[in-house]
Amino acid sequence: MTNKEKKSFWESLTNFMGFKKKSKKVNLEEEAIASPGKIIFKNFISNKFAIVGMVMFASLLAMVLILPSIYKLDVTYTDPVLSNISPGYGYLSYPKQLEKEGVAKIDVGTSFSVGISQEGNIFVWGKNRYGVLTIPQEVQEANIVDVAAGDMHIVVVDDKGNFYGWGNNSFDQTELSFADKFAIQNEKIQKIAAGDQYTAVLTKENKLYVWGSVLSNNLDSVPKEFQGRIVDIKTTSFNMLLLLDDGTVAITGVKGNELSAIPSNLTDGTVNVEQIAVSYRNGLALDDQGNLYVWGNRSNGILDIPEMESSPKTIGAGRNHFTVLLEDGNIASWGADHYGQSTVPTLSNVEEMYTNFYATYAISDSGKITTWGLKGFIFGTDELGRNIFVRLLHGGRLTLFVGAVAVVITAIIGVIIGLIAGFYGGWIDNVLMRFAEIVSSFPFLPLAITLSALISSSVTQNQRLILIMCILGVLSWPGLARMVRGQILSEREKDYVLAARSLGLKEKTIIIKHILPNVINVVIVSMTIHYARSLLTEAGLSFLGFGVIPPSPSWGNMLTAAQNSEVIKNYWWRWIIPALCVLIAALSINLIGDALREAMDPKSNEK
Amino acid sequence: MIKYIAKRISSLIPVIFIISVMLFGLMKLMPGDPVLRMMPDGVKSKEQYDALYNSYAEKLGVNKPVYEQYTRWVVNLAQGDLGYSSLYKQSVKEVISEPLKNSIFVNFFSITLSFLIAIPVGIRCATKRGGVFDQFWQIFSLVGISIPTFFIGLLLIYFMAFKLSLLPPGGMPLKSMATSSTGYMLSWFKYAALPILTLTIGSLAGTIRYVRSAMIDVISKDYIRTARAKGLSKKVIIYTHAFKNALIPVVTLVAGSIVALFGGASITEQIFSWNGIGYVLIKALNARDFQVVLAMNMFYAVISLVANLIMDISYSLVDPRVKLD
Repeated sequence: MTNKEKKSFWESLTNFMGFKKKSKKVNLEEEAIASPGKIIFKNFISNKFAIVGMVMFASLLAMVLILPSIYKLDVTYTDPVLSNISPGYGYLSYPKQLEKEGVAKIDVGTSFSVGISQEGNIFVWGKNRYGVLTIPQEVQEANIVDVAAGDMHIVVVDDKGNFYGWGNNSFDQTELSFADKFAIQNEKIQKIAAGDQYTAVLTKENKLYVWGSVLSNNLDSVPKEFQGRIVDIKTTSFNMLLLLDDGTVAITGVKGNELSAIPSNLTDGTVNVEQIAVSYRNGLALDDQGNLYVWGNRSNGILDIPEMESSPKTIGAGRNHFTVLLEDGNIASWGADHYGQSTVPTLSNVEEMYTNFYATYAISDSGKITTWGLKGFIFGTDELGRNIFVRLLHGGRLTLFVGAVAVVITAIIGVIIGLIAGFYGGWIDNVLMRFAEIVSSFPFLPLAITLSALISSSVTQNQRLILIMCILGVLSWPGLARMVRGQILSEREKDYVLAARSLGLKEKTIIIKHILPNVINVVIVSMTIHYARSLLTEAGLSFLGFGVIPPSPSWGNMLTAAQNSEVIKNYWWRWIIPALCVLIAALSINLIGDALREAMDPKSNEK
Repeated sequence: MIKYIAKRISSLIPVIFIISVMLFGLMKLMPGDPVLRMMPDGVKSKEQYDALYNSYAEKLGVNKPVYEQYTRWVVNLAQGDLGYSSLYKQSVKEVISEPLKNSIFVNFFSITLSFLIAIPVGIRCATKRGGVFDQFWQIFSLVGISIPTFFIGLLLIYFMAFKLSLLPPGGMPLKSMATSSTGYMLSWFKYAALPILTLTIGSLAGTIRYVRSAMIDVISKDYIRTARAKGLSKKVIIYTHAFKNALIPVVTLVAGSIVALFGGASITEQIFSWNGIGYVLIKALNARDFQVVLAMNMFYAVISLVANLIMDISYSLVDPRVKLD
């Protein structure tokens, strides 16, 4: 038997692919001995739409069931610097030419990186946001000696001391500050740095000039006592960390946050700091004894410096992680690891290391580049910089689960009421059907919306989910109940029920053991169709903001943002992809439902 | 016939009563205080605040016991007074009259369009079952019943409004913007085109499937075989013998669309910011405007009960075999 089925499955597959012409064969012998179940199965399996539907649904189900355990979701995790990135990879695909010419410096931006070769050529790779990948003509011609990447802009300095910039210029961060232009040109640029929408220049007279988005963080007002003493600068969103000539650490920008609470031994001169690094909310310092000091926010375990096999040589910081190049040519890294940015591959003889935001580039003594960290987002990110792919997986699990439970509720209520009404008839039937009429007389969506709005905001997310499943289930049983009742009415009059009665069987036994199996077909078909419908309803409700509420993702609430025309217009991946998921899920279920109905239809068995 | 209608209407009364009690109970369970939403800002003194609060509570009738509120609501409803909206500070009737017109306008066109397309397509699919035409529409309708309505709407906005700039992405036509009355009429269609198209595509798929299966059922009947055997032309068989009989289940669908006609389509109206009653309902829900929500749900329920009645009556009109009693 299995052999035959396999064959017919294979046939239907090849037929569907168009490999083979359809050959009609009627096997009367086989049909004559086949049980109804077998015929249904055979009919079902020979329907190419059924196969497509099954394959689609099975793969979708496998994806949302298995992959979420690989791609973990932190519902509260957001990252504004990664917001609204379109789908794509290649953030770390550095040009081979750069490796060939030898790396002079690399700096990492959010979704791109920029590097200069020892021949003075400049290379940019990654995602082209705000035109960061389009290098201006004069920069290509110039001999670039220093480069810095901000979150979405790049600034460079050539060997003649000229300053250039491109990318996001919302705060004029890519042009030399008008106010400080002459001072900078006089004092000559020693070092440049770029942060979140701002640019900083350290001049040869050790003075710091900052411009760009500085209104809220006051980074442009560098205290007088630091000017002329600054040796190194590191940028982060709201602050800049400064290394002064006496080996102490200073900070500018927003006051009173976790980062500005620098350990006192770093500021009072007890230790002589040689290098500094700063992540989003943490600072790291290396003193001349090879000791590391870390302070700031304690999330992601970033305050726990791991054991290192040799002493630190260079320190660097990403958005939420730190990397340290060791004397033995290895790299140690700790902190956030959402994109694998602190998972260091096996390395040896690392000479130089460049790290920022979510990526690290390690250059070996032979000039070979090894890189790890954020490679890209297959489906892009949303307005809070969350990975849409991961949210889709977790949201899909929720959406499919909510729909399934709702259908089970519908089926249970519908079958019980239909059975009772159909079998007992009389006033019971009358009351139950009146009740069904009441429930079904409300237009579905308005009532569902009203009911979900009724759920107060004080309930927990899980309670809310259960209530939504109940609303979906409780509102859609009347159709099924009527259908079951109709089937029972016709089954009740059949001879086998009469026979069962005359044998003296209990009513309950007759209903459950004899009648129910004969109406189960109808129930199954209607359940598949209801399932597709409840998926669509959940998506619609969540789209309107009445279903599953954020931050827990569902396919519907991922689409809520599409009520804004800006999102529809500019960020297509944020609504097309979740909507396609709903479409594929509903379509595959409908295909299966249709095929099941056809397979169970006695008319289709007449040849 | 009249006796039957009278009987049906009398049996509707307890149903409507239960619905009204259920809805009223639901509204009372809803969190949030509508009176607080009506309170103006900047009331300084405590006495003034309390006096104002009480006067608004009086106006909405929320200071009375629940059963009294219910009777008051039902009596008012029977007299055609749907209540007072705390959001719009108008009577509910005034609040929903304009949106109701807008909803009917859009739904009328979309229902007409979808039936005009679905009936001939469904018939052709049934008669040429398994052909290329049938397969195309089968796939179309399968996708059509699986696609979320908002996705159709969003795709239309993206392509028609943003990519091709043919039609406005949403909103309502403004009388002040139009130079002439014909221009105003035209702008109505311009703004309504995308909502109409969305709703049409959304309902087309289901209707085609319905017509097709009804038609297939009829075609396999013996009397069609007889008609064929008699040598009648295909056209006569299909349009006079088969279609007339296939019309009976289709009538159910038309009656169902009446509910849609008045019920509006919340999601579509929300996407296109079309000021229909679905749009008003969502706005009222977000603002905890109970009276509007209550009136509208009650209205929906009555409409759908009446539509059921019309459906049963129209059965007997299209099919003389159906006897009403």
